[in-house]
Amino acid sequence: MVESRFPFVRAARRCCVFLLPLFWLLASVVSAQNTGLKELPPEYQPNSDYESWFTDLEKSVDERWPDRVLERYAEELARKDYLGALRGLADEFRIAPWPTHGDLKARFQTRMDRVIDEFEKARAEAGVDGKLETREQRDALLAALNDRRVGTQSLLPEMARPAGGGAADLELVFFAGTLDDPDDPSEMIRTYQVDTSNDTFELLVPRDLMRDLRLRAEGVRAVLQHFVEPVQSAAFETIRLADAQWTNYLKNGYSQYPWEALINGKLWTFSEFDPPNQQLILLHPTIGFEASTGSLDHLVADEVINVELLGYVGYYGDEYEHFFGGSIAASLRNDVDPGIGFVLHWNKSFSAGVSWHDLDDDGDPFDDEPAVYMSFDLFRYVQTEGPAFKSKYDRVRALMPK
Amino acid sequence: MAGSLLFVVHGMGVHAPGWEAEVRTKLEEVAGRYSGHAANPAGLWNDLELVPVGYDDILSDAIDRWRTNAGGIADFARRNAQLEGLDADFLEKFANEDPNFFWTHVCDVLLYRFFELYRKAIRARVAKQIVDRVRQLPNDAFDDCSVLAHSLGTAVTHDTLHLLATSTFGGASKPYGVLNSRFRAIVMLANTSRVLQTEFKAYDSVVRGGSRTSKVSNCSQFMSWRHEWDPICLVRRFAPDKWPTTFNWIDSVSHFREANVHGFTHYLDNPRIHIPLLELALGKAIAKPSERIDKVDKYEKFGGRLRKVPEIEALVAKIFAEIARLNENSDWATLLDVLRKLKALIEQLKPLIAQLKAELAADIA
Repeated sequence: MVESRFPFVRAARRCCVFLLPLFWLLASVVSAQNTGLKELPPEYQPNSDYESWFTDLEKSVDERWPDRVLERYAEELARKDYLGALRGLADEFRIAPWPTHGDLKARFQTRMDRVIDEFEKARAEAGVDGKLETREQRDALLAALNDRRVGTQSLLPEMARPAGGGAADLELVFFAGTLDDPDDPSEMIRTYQVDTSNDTFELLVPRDLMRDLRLRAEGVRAVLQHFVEPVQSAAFETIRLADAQWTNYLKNGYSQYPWEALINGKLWTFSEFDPPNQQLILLHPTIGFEASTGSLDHLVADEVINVELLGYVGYYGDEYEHFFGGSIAASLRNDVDPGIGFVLHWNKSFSAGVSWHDLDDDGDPFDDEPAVYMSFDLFRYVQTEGPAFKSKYDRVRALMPK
Repeated sequence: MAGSLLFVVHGMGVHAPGWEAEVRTKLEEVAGRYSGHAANPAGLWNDLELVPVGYDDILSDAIDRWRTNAGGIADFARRNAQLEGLDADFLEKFANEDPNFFWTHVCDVLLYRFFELYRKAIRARVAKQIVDRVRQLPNDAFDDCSVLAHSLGTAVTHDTLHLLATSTFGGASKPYGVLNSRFRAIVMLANTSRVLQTEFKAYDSVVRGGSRTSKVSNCSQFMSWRHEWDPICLVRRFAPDKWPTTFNWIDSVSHFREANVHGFTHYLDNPRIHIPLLELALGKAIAKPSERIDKVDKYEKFGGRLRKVPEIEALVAKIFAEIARLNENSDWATLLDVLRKLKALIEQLKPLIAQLKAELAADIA
């Protein structure tokens, strides 16, 4: 635990740890306002936003406040000694004075100790004897903890519907299930009950004790979250990257017709968080222009529909931001017989290729001058260039022979 | 900063940025019906942040591309007589189906159900939006978050949350497993997670309510509501048995406020739905216990544009009762009396029918 250099600060903190709860306990005995409440205090609401519970002064001095817990156990957390931090929190709760409702404290303490025991067993099971050094060790320990039904939320209260209640009849309880049987309510702690005849609430756990339980639970959550965070962070990076890859594959990649999307969905091995980086092209029509290569002086470009018979596109870059591929294509024009050729695709809107038409009708298209083909991935281009494309397109068409 | 988050996932159809405004407005309106928020319905958002979760851009991008490509090629084919072999009409039909329904609604469902590429991209997108926002909360507090989904969005939500909770991301553990990432509540309206189920079976998934020690549930409270007249909910209805009612509530409603009983906001209008939804999402009561009971009990089956339906029903019943007075042995006096009364009843009925017809027409428009 981090100790202050100043003795009076240390003394004040210790006072806070032990005396503040006592102060609240005594205050509660004096007030004893646990029945006939017209409104439920915020401690009985499931939010973990404590702003409404505490004054700024209380937040700054109460050692149970989750931020303070992380500060006090900063050394243990830096050493990745989570078990040490958890034991410290359990010991603090053990010696905290509860002049009333000792049975409740015992039940909570039992669950807290059990969670820590399971953490220790999971650590042994995961082969993490000393401190956690690597993310793989955290990962293994987290898996073992999940098997043992332990997680960051283990001690937090939860919403449950009492037997015979309606959809909206929900209560905040602790431990609706046991660690051995999630459907066993034998360890459940009800925190309040409602009297619908006069719209009042009876607090079954006094307010100051409820606050104590919730803060202890949040302290344990803060420590366990510190342990889980690196594993979750890596997982989130995978999710973020996958979303970026999907966007590049589907939105910025080479377009797919419905039949291609269906086939590509079946052909490649991929998952939600590991998108495909390959794409089959099949019977993919596009519109473009074809120019003869016979003479630059008499260059004629003609509108053409190109049907890519079969092809392949590969994606590369961390986020699949680039692609490259090609296909065998049939070129259909209104002035000559269909031709055959190939098309190459690279990033974004344009593709280019070469095609041969049987211009001299001798049955062999390959003895004629090839035509250079350039196509637009129409949708992509229209989407990005929009109106500018249309005016260019119209101008080009106006230049063509009628 | 709001203490709780409510992720709202849309259904089929076009959902441009800002689509969540109608849900926000409706939740404000219904919150204002209760003592807790009557004075300031917008104060709801002091305690609750509504987070829209969208995926429509993935679907609409694909559909727009198909329509553009198909339309452009059909146009080219028509202008070039040489290409008579190409069925331009097929592509044209493909591109020009009823744009208000086929492309924007049916296609969404078909794409999600049958096209693995789009289905998986959508799940990744939705997972990213939810986790990204939760990670901005202190301690990644999933327990401060609720999810509200409608129609196609229920299937998307179901699949995504199951996937998120069960994925190992290449490791041994499930980083966003249910023990660490349990939502406070998941509320499904017009639940399609069963009719559209693919890899993840709706009754076997972790998307259900359970205690914090459960390894097979990802939320404290799960609710699924269907409207008895909503056609979307009639096929392969979501109705699991033996899910403990302590944590799960599967139920139906039968109110009528507008022609489209499938509508997101039409569901939200019902206090049986919006009271537990708001109270769970907010994490606190919006009304006194007796007020909640009163509002549910007094919620009429017909209201809004359909408020005259009970009156019409009553008049029709009277017409049938008058007709029933006639039989083989009735005399002239009775016949004339019945005719006189029928005329009066029909005169009463006419303006009501006309008003209903006009309002329904406006509603559909």
